[in-house]
Amino acid sequence: MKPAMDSAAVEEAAARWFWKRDSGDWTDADQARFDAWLHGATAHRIAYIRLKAGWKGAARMQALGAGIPAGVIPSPGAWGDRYFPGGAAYNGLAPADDRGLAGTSSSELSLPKVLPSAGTGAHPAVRNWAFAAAALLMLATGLYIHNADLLHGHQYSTPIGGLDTVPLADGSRITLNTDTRIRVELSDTERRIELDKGEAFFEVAKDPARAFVVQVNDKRVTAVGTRFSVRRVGDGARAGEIEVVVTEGRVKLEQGPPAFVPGSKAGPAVGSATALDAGAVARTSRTEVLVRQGLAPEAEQLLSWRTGFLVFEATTLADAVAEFNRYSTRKIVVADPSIAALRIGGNFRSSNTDAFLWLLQNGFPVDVQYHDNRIVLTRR
Amino acid sequence: MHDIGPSVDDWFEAEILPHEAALTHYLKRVWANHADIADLRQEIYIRVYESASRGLPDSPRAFLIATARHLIVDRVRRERIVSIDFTQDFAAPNVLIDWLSPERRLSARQELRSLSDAFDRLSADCRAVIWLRRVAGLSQREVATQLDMQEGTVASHLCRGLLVLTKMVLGNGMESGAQDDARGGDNETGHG
Repeated sequence: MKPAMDSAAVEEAAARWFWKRDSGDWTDADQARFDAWLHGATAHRIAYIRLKAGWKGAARMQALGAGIPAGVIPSPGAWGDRYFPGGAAYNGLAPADDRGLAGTSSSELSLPKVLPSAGTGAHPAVRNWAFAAAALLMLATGLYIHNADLLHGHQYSTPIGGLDTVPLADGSRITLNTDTRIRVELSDTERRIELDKGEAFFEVAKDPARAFVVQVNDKRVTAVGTRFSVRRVGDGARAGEIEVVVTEGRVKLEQGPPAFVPGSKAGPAVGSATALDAGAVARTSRTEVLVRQGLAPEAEQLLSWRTGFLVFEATTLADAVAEFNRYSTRKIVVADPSIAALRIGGNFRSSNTDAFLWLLQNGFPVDVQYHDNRIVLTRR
Repeated sequence: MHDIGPSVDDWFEAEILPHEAALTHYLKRVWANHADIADLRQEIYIRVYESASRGLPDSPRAFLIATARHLIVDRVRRERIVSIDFTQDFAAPNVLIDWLSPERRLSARQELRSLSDAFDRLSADCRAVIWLRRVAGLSQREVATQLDMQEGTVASHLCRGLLVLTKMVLGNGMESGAQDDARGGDNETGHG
């Protein structure tokens, strides 16, 4: 089955573009990315046209605002009987003349709420407490911070299924994906991160005097101020291999003999060095680096895990299962090679394996058996 | 990719989108799995748009109908899991034609009513943001200041609200209730 392009995901992307353009914060680079997105697929363009038309059509609501003072948001149903006599929405007996609407006096509207309490339903302080509690909970379940000895700097890790963001003292932020461990050392001359396992996304605060270096065995990814991710992809004999995705700015990928002296300045490149620009996806293989230069939105899609989503586009079942398995201790096993090559597409919450399995059972010739510690997929 | 200019965009908005309610209604009648409908509609739109960019059809309405039927037939041939309900009026294109007739459209007052109902069902924050941006005409930044929200939060409320209102506007007010069946089963099912 050819996977249909997920219209809901397209529509949401279109909505984000719509409001980004409307935000007043719009650069030439944004325009270029937007054009690339719009031209990338007819589905994108159509979704955008639909939302534009929808927003235009929603302007009819302005009739509801006639006479209501600025800064006031009417309560739900405030217009009920005043605007819609009889109460029935679809009785088909509406008077032919609708022009009276905009001229309706608002003095008889039921009392609107006054800002700033309007719309929140909760006192700001209450919201803050709720936020603090949620943050604490997140901290307790997702992220363990160890005050390791000074030599190894700070260590941060997430368990399987975890996702968390660590702010650094220099203003940078690191987002840790599932089952990830990093060590952070900030010195006067360098910001060094060691990725012991897993995958992390780096938003690097600009500081030309201190390079930002992510180290995996003999590979170093160096940036000054940019956004990129590094993931350890190999295991066993290939445990040092990494995948680098750059979403903004430029980074340098070097590999060569380990030159790791804690606290020291990064030595000169011993092996090869490759420059990676925004949109690049690089994968190492022993001494080689394979670079695919794509567009930034594509690279962003690879990083959808930061919001808890996995995005598949014509992905094989084997690859999709491997992705889900990163997030769960109860592993999925593809027992039948003949289904491993099925292609699937869509957006999934990485924590929602059930939705994925449900879809497999209902849309594909796949049978799912649940065991205590694993889930087995066979051909139906 | 062929050249697709703004004129096709305008044509699509003016000639095709007004039939979205009818098209959706038709798809629901012939396709048993309502979770697929938004994707099917998207695929039909893609075909219509790409064809129109090579040359505008004389009768947009008839062209939309023909495209929808072709796509359904294609799907039935292609899919392993056939979710079409043959007992319904799959073979009866007049269903769509009926629904496109002007008498079936809502009056402006009814449309406003269904729009305000959809608006009232938004979450309180989302509703406030939409009101200030769409009705009061504040910029996103001003909305953020007035509601004491992050601009990013304002943008995500706008996204949510826009999706709901678009469905209502293009659904001609007819999709309320049933629309959730059509969208609720999308890949990300929402109980994550």
